[in-house]
Amino acid sequence: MKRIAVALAALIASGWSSGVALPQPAPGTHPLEIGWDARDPYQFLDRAGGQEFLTGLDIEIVRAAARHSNLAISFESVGWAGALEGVRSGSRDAALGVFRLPDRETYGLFSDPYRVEQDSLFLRPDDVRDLQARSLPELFDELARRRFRLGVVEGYYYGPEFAAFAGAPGSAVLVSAVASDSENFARLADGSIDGFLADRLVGLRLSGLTARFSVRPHPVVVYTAPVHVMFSRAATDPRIVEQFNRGLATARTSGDYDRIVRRFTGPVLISAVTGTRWFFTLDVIGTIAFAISGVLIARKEGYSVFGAVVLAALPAVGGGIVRDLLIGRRPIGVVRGPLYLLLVLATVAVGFVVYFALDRARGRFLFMFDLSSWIVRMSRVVLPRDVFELFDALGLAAFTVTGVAIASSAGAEPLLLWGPICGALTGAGGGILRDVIRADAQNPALKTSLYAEIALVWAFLMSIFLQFQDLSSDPDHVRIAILATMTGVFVTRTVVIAKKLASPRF
Amino acid sequence: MEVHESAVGDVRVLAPRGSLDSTTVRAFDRALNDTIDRGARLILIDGNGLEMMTSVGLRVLLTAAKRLQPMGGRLALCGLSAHLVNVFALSGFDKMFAIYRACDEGLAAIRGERG
Repeated sequence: MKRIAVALAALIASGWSSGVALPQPAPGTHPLEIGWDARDPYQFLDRAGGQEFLTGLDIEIVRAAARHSNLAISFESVGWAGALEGVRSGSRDAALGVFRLPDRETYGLFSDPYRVEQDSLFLRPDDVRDLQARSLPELFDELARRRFRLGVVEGYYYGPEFAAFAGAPGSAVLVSAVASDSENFARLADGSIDGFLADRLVGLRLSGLTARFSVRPHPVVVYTAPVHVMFSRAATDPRIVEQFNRGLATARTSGDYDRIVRRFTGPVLISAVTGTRWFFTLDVIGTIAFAISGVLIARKEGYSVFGAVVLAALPAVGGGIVRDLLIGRRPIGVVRGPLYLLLVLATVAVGFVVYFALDRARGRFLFMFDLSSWIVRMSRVVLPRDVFELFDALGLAAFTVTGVAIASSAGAEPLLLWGPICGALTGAGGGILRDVIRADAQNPALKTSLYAEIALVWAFLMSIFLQFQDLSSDPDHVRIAILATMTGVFVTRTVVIAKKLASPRF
Repeated sequence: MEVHESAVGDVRVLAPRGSLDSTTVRAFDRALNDTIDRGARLILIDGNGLEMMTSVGLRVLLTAAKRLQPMGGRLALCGLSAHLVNVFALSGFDKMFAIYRACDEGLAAIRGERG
């Protein structure tokens, strides 16, 4: 079985070096069997159209390299230990995301490096500020002083300094190993450990998946080194590795490599911010503000309760639905969880009850006179409409970032086009839809108000950043870019409201 | 609280000055009810000098209007500040009284309705 693959590879390799057209892998020949280990965003199962499929940064880079080198490959989920053991024994051809270490050289052949892995200590956000260490020795000293409970993954290598530190006799640090990074994340959330070591992207990805609990990497890097595809010496001809390396080089020069890195790195770094509690809070405020705009219109124009739900739901979730349909995101965001629709329903219900109670109290209860007096007095200081507009601007800011993030994670290319479109659709598309449903000939977002334009411009600037910034350089750059985008949207919208600026007429 | 009273034909015009709240309401209540006791049936409250009013002032107005109703009398308001006009409208109590922007208009209206 392996001999056939080797012979085929040799044939392909000779064709390449002599400059003739490469043959396609012969039907029936055995593809290279590669073991993979679930590590989002490098190797993971995604879901679309009701079906699971294997993807990730490592997977897609290897697929691109294999495509460019005419190598047939197949993947099998075997876990980290299984992947290494398969290569060692020769029962599998290769493993992904492997550091090049002396003991592994004895049984593995290494491809050219295809990315860099950077291991950090992940902590609760408050603990990151508490740990003052500025170098690795200082960090380990501080962990020892605190009798730190540290989580690692069984069989992972975290660098020579950590190996010496963890193995030192009498170490006060309690190191415990589990099977995966996600287990460590769960253990930190429930307080079983004080922190865990993980690759930066893996840790940030875990943090971005839920708003309930977030982690941040300590700025001191524990270990950084390039990673490779490790081929089995026992099962793979060295010429296969050379052929793979040529495919990898072609993937880099063709632009495939950069596209794959952007597709999997950008969303993780963005979700590390959008998965935080403060962003979630802004998202909720925005959703409620958008829903309130529908409730106010429903009241003013005498809609039924159902009509109010429609008018409230459209600006809150309508733009996201159109965006997801446009870029083919499955399942559509709003059906992934009931929260946003429930927020809309709750806003309409609260609005209905408040209006019902006010209608009953007006002209009947004397306290309404004092309450009205207070409202009229307060509205001289700040108009209720302005307060609402400020909340709405917060929502626009959060929704714009969400739109760009989703365009980026869906791999919508070019991002410079789809980022702004998705940002503006998410932020303003639902409001436009609502006004279309109302048959409002003066649809403000399309005629007078500077609203969608603000989302477009700032989403475009954020997309430029994501397109051209080296995302692996510093994850904090993405945090700053998101904050700058949100601040930009909010401040611009606030200025537009304060100065009563109108959109230029066509 | 100072409440100036005048008569224009069969309409009694009461013009309170200052704030109509819990500290001043007794004086206004007394002046208004004395006017009714003396047989006045058409009463116009001139709000030009009224700086502020709370629900205790409103209660006095509502009670007086209720007292006048079976006697075929009326109570109207005029010259209220924009603030008070908004408060009456927002609280829904603008339906309980005829409220006129100018007192001349109020006088003409209340006399016309009577005639």
